[in-house]
This record gives sequence, structure tokens and C-alpha cells, in this order.
Amino acid sequence: MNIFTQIVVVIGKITPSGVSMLGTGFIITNDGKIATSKHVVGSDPSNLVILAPHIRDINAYQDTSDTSCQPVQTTVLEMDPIKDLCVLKADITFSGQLPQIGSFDEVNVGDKVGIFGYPHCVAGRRVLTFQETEIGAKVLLESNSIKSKHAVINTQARPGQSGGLIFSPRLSKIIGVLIGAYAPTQGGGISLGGINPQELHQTTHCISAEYLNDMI
Amino acid sequence: MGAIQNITLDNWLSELKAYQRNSIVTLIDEYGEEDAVEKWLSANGPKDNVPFGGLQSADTKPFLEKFKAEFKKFVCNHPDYEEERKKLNMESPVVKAIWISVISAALGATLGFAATLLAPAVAVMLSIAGKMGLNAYCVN
Repeated sequence: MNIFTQIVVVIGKITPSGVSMLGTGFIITNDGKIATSKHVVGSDPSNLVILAPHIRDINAYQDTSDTSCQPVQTTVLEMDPIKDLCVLKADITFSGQLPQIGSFDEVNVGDKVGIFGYPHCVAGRRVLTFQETEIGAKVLLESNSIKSKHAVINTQARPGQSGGLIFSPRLSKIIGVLIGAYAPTQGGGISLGGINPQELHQTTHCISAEYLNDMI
Repeated sequence: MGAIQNITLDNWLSELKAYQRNSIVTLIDEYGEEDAVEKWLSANGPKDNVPFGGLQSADTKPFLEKFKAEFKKFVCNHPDYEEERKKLNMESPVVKAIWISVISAALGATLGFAATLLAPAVAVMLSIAGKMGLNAYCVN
């Protein structure tokens, strides 16, 4: 489990007031390529950073009052707006063995999966968080008439978790990337205290990690 | 600017990465070349999905018009892109990958967009401009 403290990172943007945290990403190559969601990065590649890991032990108490961080300059290498994926490059190296990239083809509905990410980081909270759930369904989701392999995982996710990895402990592979949750009326509906009630459910969407292979 | 009229759409698209080429080809088949450019640039993942990160997405329609305007400035000899065009004129015959890369980078720098995101749109626009002929494209 501790390897995930070193490969799951916060994606951020340098602003005049500091680093604005945008979401989660994870290292996929030893020379510092990082996968995340395209919407985490946005279209503007300027001032992008990752935050260097702040813990080494997943069981360590993460100090939520500690706002210090080590930003590492990051550039955009590849961006797929259809599949909502992005590959970044940071000036870092990772010397350990990284988990292989897999696919939802390799798992079954009901299989256990682990999720690592930074829920609520967009609100300024940096806590690497593990969740465990199962694959609830395999689905094809459409973007501009192009369909891609996704999975529904049976857990609730929150802003900041996009770009987080979905891990199969059975395969020891990263099999998906969290991209959001089902919401049929995005941009509409009501908002309660800044929270869209339609997001509050356990239909979390993830895209199959296999698509990253064409981007690296 | 070099002669691009003899280069087919397939030739331009062959320079793209597989993930870009596969999607843009599908979009062209479904919507035609001009609309495929818009669909690619305005796409933001699957529909009925609320994203959990990033900044609020901007309106992409005005961006498309700006993209097309800047592309036209580039290929139609506007002085804003004189330096970048020099890099292409040194390439004879046309080296397609360099054209896509240089134009995407130049337009990306102007528009504040990632060059890699623009590359498929630039490839399609080069084909459109080439088919019309640059003289005709630039007076339109």
C-alpha cells in the first residue's frame, strides 16, 4: 500500500495566492509521466504543477493544517478530450516498480477494487485517501458519438478525486481512472450550499486505463 | 508557405498519435471535417458525467472562432506568425509532422491551449485549406 503514497499526486496550478489544487494524478512511467483526467488540467497548460508526496507511510496521520508543499513544474504531453484523459510530464524520476496498466476487460463485475485519490483537494484539503469497493457495472459511455469502456464503481466520490487510480488487488494492476459521477443534468438543477444533490450517490464513473497505453 | 494542396487528409492524419487519429477519423465520418474540428475542441469527456476536479470549463464556441482566426493568420502570412513560418519554409518538401507541431505550438501559445490538444484540429484545417488552395482560403 505504501507505494501509493509515492505515485498518487495532487495536480495543481500556481496562482498569485499559492497553489490551487485541481485534482488527482498518478505516476505511470519511471521517467515521470503522470496520468490524470483532462478536465482536471483544463485546456490551459500554463503554471501546472504536481505536489511531491507528503507522506511515505499510508498509516501516517496526515496533518490537515499543514499547508506547505513542494510543487514540481509539469507540462502537458498528451490530451484526449473525448476520453477525458491527459498525460503530463514532471521533472521527476521514480526508481521503484510501478503497477502495470490494465483494463476493465480483465476484471469482473463484483471484483474488489481500491481507489486512491485526494477527495476535497479542490477545497484546499490534501489527504491521500483509500477507498475500497467493487465494480458495479461495465458501461460504454459516449462522447460526441464515440463510445469508450467505463465502469461504475459502487462508492461515492467527491470533487478532487478525478484523475485518481482504480487498482485491482487481484491483478496488481491499475485498471481505471476516476472521472466523475453520473449526473443527467450537469449544469442545471439545484445547488444546496454549493453541492449538487444529483452528485450524491454511488454511481461513480471510471474509464478503463487501457486507453493510456496509446498516450505514452 | 509551402505547397500543401497535394497532401490528402489521410496523409495529414497519419502524423497524429493513434488515439488522436482514431477519434478524429470517427468524428469526421460522423460530422464532416469542419464540425469534427469543433467536436474535438469542445469535447470534455462523456455526457451525463459530472467531473470531480479542475477549473470551471469555459465556453468553447468563442474559442473555436478564435482558433480558426488564428489558424488563418498563420497560413495566410499574417506578420504575427512570421518567425514560426520561417521554420516551416526551411522545410522543403513539406514535413507534415513538423507543420502540425509548429502550427499547434504557435497557436497554443497565442490561445493559451495545450499544443497537443490542437494538433488534430490543425491537421484537419491544413487539409481543408489545402483542398481549397491557400489563395482561395485566404481571401474567404
